[in-house]
Amino acid sequence: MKHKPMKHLLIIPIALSLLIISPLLSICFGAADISFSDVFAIIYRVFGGEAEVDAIKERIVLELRFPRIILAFLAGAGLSLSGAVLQTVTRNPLADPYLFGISSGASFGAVLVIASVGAASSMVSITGGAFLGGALSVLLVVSLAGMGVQIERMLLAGVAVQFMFSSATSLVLYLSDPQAAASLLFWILGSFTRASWDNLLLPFVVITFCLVVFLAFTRPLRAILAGDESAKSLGVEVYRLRIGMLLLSSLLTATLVASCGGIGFVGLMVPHIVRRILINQSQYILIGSAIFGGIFMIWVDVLARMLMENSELPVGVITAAMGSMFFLLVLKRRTNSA
Amino acid sequence: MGDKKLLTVENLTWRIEDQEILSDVNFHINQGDFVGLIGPNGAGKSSLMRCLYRVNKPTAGSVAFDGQNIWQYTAKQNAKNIAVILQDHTEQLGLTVSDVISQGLTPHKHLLEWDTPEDRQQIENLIVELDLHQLRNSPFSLLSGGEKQRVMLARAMLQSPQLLIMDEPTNHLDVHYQVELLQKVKKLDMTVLASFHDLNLAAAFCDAILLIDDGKLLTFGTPEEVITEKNLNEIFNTQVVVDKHPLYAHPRITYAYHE
Repeated sequence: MKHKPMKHLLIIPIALSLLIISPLLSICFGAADISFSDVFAIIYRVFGGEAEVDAIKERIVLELRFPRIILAFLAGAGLSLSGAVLQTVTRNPLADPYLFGISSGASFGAVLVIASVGAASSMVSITGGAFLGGALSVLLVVSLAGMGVQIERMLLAGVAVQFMFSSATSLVLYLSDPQAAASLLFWILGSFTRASWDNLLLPFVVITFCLVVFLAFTRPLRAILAGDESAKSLGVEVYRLRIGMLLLSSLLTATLVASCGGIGFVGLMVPHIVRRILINQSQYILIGSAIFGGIFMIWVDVLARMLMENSELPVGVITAAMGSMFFLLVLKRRTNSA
Repeated sequence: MGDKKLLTVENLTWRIEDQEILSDVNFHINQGDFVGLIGPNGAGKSSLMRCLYRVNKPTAGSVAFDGQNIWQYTAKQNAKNIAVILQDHTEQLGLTVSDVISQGLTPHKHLLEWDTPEDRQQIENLIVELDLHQLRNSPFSLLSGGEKQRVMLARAMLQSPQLLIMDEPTNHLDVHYQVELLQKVKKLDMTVLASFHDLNLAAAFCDAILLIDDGKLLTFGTPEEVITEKNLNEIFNTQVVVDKHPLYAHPRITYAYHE
């Protein structure tokens, strides 16, 4: 198992070009027919240039698709970051905000706020509700599984907490009126349809803040992989770091759940793949997960818009379908090597 | 052997709930010494070491490093004073050999402080010194027991502590790697405290040996003073013959079992 570091030099240009091309290209996909040259003309006009552009197309691109793509990128980046950090602090390669019950806790919190306040509830209050729900599920999982990190116990505790919150959410849905329930359900399954320029700021701020904190803690996070006792001997205050990082992960997840519902398994898949690509570059795993997660989600959202004619699939359905296959694959590899 | 007391353990007692695991342990380690810790299974070797690197907090008594209680140092300062090599390792979630070695820099860096070219050069030197260049980019989890211990030694050297604590460092290793690892440590001229199962290894490599049983320190002295037939027969409940090693000056233990 030898790897040449040379090939990593290619990663940076590849990532950068994907990062620029993906949003521009993905804008063209959707119900309305918009070409690549339309997109360019519209962007040109935004920056003060003169170009002939259909007014309707311009509105679709600027007010619907652009914010939607940015939200998709933020969601992919944030969930992958959250997954990467969860996997690190629990030393559990199968950790994911969805599998840990954070997403379902956050969904429950958000649904409860929406169901009790109504459609008028603000983004901040929905996020607040989601964070309380997410933080509660983290604390439940940790108290059920204990601070000692045992992969199986944590997974089981996560699944139990997930069921608990899902059933509570179902109850709220059942008790609310049918129309509200339908829109809540679509949102719980994960969707970027609500994207608008106004509600991009909060996720952007939260993700940037968490990314900076995570990057600052790159070294202690790497040390924690050696085991709690070993990390302590390296001067890391393990329990404090773990709780802090778990809470930040739930803040990230909750913010994204509040703006686009529960999207599962991205946080499991992306860091896994990035870790394979960035062998020996462990300091870049977090930022790499964020970038590739964002790009990945942009394309998953394209699939969601394109798979069915005249309607769109919830993105969460697509990521869960891909992710569960991936999960089984990883599990099989683990059992084979054990 | 130095005269400066690097680590001082005074009246150390450690209890979990009602059970006394360590009772009133007193000793000190001089700078430059290679000290062994021996005792039967369950004697409290690991518990004692955990008290020295701040995983166990003493119920009574104190552990002082360079004259100051270890619990008065910051976690980082402690890690600069004392490095630890444990006997079992996690899978390190895909980290490679050089990633794991670089963990040794953790206590020396602030948040957001990246590796400097000097750090990378130092890691490179350790990789060469410990014969790890073939394995540099291999995942840590795929290494053999002996290779893992060499990586952990490189990490501990990067941590550049004044005292190195090793919990049964030769466990899981075959004879060749046991000797090789200890010779490498010996060459470092570092103050070392290591626990041993293999009494012949302890007799060969240690300047002084601590013998504990049932949480109590029984004797502390040179290998010749501690490794005696009387001590071993009593404490390890087995019949031994102790004589002089045929090639070197240290004691040799022969176990008197037959069929």
